[in-house]
Amino acid sequence: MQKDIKITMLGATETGKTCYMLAMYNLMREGINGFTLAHQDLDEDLALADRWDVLEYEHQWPVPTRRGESTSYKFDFCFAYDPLISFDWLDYGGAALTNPQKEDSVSSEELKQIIQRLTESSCIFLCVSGKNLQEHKIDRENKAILARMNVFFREIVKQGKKPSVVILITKYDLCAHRTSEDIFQNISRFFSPFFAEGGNWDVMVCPVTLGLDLGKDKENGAIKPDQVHLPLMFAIFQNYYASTIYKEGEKIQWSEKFQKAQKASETLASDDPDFWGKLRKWWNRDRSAETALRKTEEELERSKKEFERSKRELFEDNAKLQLLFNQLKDQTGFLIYSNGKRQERTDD
Amino acid sequence: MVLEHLKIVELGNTKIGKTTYMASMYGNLQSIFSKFKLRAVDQQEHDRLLELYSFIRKGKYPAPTSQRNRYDFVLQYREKDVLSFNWTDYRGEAVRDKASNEDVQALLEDLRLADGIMVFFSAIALIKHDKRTNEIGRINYLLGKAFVNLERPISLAIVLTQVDLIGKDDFQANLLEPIKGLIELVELTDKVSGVIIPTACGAKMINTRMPVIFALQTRVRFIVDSLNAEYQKYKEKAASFQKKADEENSMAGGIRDLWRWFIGETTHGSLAQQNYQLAKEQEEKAQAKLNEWQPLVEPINNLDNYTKRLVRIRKGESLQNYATQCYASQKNDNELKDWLWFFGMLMLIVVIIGMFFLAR
Repeated sequence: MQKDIKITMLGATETGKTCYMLAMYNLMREGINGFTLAHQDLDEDLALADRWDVLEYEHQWPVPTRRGESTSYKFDFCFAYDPLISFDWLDYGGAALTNPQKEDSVSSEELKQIIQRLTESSCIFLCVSGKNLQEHKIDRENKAILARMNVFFREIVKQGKKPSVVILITKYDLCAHRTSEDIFQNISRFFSPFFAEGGNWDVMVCPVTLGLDLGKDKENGAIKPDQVHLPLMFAIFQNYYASTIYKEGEKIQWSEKFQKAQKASETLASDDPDFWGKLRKWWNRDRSAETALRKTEEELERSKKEFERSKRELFEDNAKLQLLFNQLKDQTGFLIYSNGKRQERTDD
Repeated sequence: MVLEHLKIVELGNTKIGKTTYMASMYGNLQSIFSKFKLRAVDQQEHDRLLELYSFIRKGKYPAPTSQRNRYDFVLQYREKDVLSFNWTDYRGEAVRDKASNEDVQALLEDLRLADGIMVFFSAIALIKHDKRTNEIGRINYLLGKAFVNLERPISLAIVLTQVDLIGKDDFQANLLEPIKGLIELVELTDKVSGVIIPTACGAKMINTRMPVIFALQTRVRFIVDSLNAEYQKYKEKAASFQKKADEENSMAGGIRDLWRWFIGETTHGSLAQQNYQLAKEQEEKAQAKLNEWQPLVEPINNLDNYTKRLVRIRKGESLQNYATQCYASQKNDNELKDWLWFFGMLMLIVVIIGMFFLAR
């Protein structure tokens, strides 16, 4: 199992962050292709399920999160009941984001905290509501929020971090009348740094909806969440991908150390002094050669063990990476960009 | 010989029919089938369950369970006790209770230790895609908590209740769509062997024996296979020691052993004796395993045969396939009973006519 990670979701009030999270949780809680998501706390699980039930069965939309409010959840992500990763999910709608025009309203402490959180995050979800993408133009307030997100990212880059990014088009039903290309043009304009070649960003642009009919009739439209699990799959995939690259490097390092130790051991073993040399050593009680040989053999043993361990871990991670990739491979309706280039989802 | 206490836990939301199923299963297992019969350890429980069963047959259903109950049962084969097990029946609300509630903690603990789990879903609610009535999400969640890093095999029966209230046309993929996630999980988890069992309890009883028989069969099959493997292992070890002993024996005596004795090493003769002794010990262990294993062979083969027609959850099956098999499974059970009833009546008529002629 991978070490715990952090995922942060940023978005203005009423972008649908909470609804999205509820839909994703409830879909994945029931399991999808063997993958499950479970809140670590039994009571929190019930609370999240109840909120979703009210939405799904009674069509009662949750009260929008108060401006400036943030909530944190602790989830376990499993495959076939085996834990793959645990993560801390922060739903951030804090003042540092929602009141960008009023610099004074944001305490420097809060700003520091959110930048710190983003720096520690493995993946950041940026929520853009479909409501703001109904037309080519975006109103001033939302533009300011989007600009604010970009400011955050500049700070993260300054800290030398580049987490993967999901640009989540929530309430896609509200802008489904526009072509994907048209919507993507908007997105790529607002967040141009993510799509610049040489920028080294891994980005997913994914439209999600709780029901395509909701755009026309919010009160009575059928609630059928679509694609809501894919962004999370991408986030976990990216984490596994980074981990396999790291472990590949680790494996090579241990392999080199092992070879070096093996060579040293062979050299020492073949360095057999003649009769007089042996006698001299015995007379002087010189044990340096034996000590060196023992040390080399210890190093040889250790590097062999570490090499085997890194090889095994890499193999296991690769298998999981493939499982996650399979979830994304056959799906359409979202885009993935890596280093400014659109990625085709092939097995390569 | 009676095997260790096996643990069976049933899980399902309130008013799904768990207690009804339990009493129906017990009532049905009072008549001998394939030489098997069930008995409750506690006579009072026996009487109470049979009373409930008689009410259910008349269409009067028991009230939902208000507390956690544990029942001790013994499965008999040819009127001999072969397997004892306990069955924990939770009140349905426990599924949705807060973590601080004792029942929830006990439920999680029981699920973790269970040999067999039965999850109950109402077929009517499934058709309507009413996940709330069946609490599908919460049940999956609880199973997930119990099955984390599962290391021992476990059986999971997905019991569809009230199938007599749905029509033939309802046995489509749509019926199982709400539990697709759970089915996929079972398909992918090596340690969990799962089945889907359509049941009905009332004037018409459908497949009421199957869930418990499946749970017992899976566990006993595992025990028998493990005992068999252990028996083989001891047998092999005994053979290896025997071979070594024979080799040492062929070298024993004479100048070689004299020399070994002289230099203080164990003689070939002694080594042969030691190895014969070890071989004997291993042989005894193998025999002990065989004694444990053999009496179970016939019952388990019978159980295997009896559970052959169950709808097994296997990787690669489609929901439509499962639904079709479910229809066939409940229809077969129904038709079999109809045939038995018809055959019984026919025999009765023949006897009456025969007696009539004899009297004349």
